[in-house]
Amino acid sequence: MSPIRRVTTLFATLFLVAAVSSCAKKTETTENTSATPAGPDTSTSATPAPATTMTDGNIAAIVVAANDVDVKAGELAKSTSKNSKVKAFAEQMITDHTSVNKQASDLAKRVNLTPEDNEASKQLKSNGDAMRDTLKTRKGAEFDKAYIDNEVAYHEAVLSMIDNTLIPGAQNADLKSLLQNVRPAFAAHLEHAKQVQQSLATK
Amino acid sequence: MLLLSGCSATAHPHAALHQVRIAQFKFVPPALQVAPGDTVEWSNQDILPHTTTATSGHWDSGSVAPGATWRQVMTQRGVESYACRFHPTMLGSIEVR
Repeated sequence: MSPIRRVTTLFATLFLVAAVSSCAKKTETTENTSATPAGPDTSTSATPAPATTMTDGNIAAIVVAANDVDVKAGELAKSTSKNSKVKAFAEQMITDHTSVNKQASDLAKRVNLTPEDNEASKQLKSNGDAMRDTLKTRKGAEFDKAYIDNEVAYHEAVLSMIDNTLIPGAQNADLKSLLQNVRPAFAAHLEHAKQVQQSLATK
Repeated sequence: MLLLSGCSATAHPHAALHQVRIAQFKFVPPALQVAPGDTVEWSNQDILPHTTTATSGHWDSGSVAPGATWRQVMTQRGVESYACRFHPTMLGSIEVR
């Protein structure tokens, strides 16, 4: 496996889900809200932790962090890539994820919900930084492939997190509704990313 | 002639209005059959803007904001495929016959 492939896979499927898992486990030990007996350590597996251990503040912070990471990756791709399809995809990611974050921010104010930074949101940010640092060492077609490969893995991981952790865990009805409305956007982005990935592979 | 919303005066007196919902990042229904002179109205029920853009360039709504609608009078017979320019995996078609 190439270094960049390792980074994208590591970032998208391990750090992201493990971060949520880890955060949920820590909360579980203090809140003890889950009736599920403690199982084996799954912090490096793709199995999300029980959703009931996340607070709405945790979820809001994760949503903001997840969108920020993709906006920043998009900004890097927009300024780096020379490929029109990659640039168009990146610009759409910036537009959509910025809009989702604004809606999440507006919602938080409306329902008096304070995003609570947590291990998951912090890891999302730090690993997003690491991912961009790695991307900055790539140029041309190598950059395009690394960026799009990461976008595919990233959106797959976020969709899994939305389905298995965030939507089931959200207690506030408006927050849950926002997550349910955001989900199709992530699914469409994933299909769009795969479309671009395919076009890069056939060039 | 292609017309935007508010131009129904040029439509046939018996022309029908057809609704296409834009929801969950899909055009619903994805395929529609209409008669010449009928109007198609797209309503964006998603949380992000979309477009309805004919592949041939026959029409382009531009950005349709969440909660907004956009209309097009269909005059040319045939099948026209369309997509959202922002989200190219969103596809639809209109058959005018």
